[in-house]
Amino acid sequence: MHVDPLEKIWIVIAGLLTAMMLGAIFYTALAGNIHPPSNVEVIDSTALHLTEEFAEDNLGVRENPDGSVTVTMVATRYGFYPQHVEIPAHTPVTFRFATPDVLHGLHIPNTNVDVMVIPGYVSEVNTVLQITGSFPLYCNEYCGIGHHEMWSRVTIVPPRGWPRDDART
Amino acid sequence: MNKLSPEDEKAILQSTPKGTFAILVIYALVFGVAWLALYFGRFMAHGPVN
Repeated sequence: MHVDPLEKIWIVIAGLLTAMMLGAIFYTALAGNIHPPSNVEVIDSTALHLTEEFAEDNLGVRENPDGSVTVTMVATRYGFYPQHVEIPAHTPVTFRFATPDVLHGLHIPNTNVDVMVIPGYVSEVNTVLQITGSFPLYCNEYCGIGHHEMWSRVTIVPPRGWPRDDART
Repeated sequence: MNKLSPEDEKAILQSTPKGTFAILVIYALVFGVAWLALYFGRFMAHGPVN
């Protein structure tokens, strides 16, 4: 089979580019423990409000004894509850989401937090936020006629400014 | 315009096109640098996620 020299060169270049991309992805996955959120945890969506973790009074930001932070939220048509959370930057944060109704998606701009919230499961994302500021947390999976209005707000503050005295949990 | 001899014309037709080779290399460099900038400069800069 005849292969033109230019095609051979392009095959080598494409191979090198692919190897570079896969190498970077595998390296950061192994060395930096970076991979897609893969928590598998079932929950009864019809009785979400009866669980201890996702009961209305227990939603929000909680500081753990080891200094990390857990954010528990409910995604429901058409909003995220609580509607505003304040989180410290440069601190390990675990987001835990559940929905009592349909499939939702969740994304915080300028971060790598992007996860689907599936009825019957708890979605969990672990991250360390690198920026400060106020960002919308919005639904990115079509969930019904009010989908475009489904958003909440996340304020990421410097660790020294968190938690505010009036927001301490 | 100079008239090419049949030998010159044959040599040009059988050689590897240098302009196309240059486009391949430039495209590969731009693609590689842009990908690395997005991956390490944007995605990784946003912090670890799992």
